[in-house]
Amino acid sequence: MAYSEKLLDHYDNPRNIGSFDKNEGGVGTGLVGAPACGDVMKLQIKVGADGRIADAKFKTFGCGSAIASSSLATEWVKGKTLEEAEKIKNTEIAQHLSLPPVKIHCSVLAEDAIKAAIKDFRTKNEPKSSGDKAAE
Amino acid sequence: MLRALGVEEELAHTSLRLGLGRFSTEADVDYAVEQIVQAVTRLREMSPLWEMAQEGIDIKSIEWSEH
Repeated sequence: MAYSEKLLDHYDNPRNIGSFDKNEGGVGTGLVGAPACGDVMKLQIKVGADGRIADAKFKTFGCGSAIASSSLATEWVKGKTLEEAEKIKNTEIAQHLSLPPVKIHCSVLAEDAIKAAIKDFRTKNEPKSSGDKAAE
Repeated sequence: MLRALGVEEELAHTSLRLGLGRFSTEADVDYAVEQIVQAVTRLREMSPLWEMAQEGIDIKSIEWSEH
């Protein structure tokens, strides 16, 4: 099965590649996957004063589907509140990119990356939280 | 095959297998080199692992979530 045009577009022209300083205020970092499995995604969000995700960046080591899934994820989280962003489902990503069945795990990883970034942001920004466990 | 040679999984995932045939020309090789260098440079720019390597972070020191 050939890759969809949308997938190829995200692979050829990935949106929002890059990194924020993970210690910067308002930044949440999610790092998911494992080198041994062949997929690692780093997704970062920058939350504005209004509580919405003002900007997002990613870096991905993996196949074209993994790169496209994380690129799409950064596009989708922008402008959303954390509550809205964590509702993004892997199935929506898979459907949008018409991922073939063997590549569904890429969309799962992208959803995990969004959730991990949000979790990291919350951990860093909750005054009560004791353990400051960054998403290393 | 690489795994059987004792190459670690992380490295095996970044491998590339190239074959030459009797009809391969020097120009073919030059073309392949050019394409591969371009692709690797592009993929490194978007790789979190390459970024870590540049920052001196040992990726083995990170607790990865296997999937």
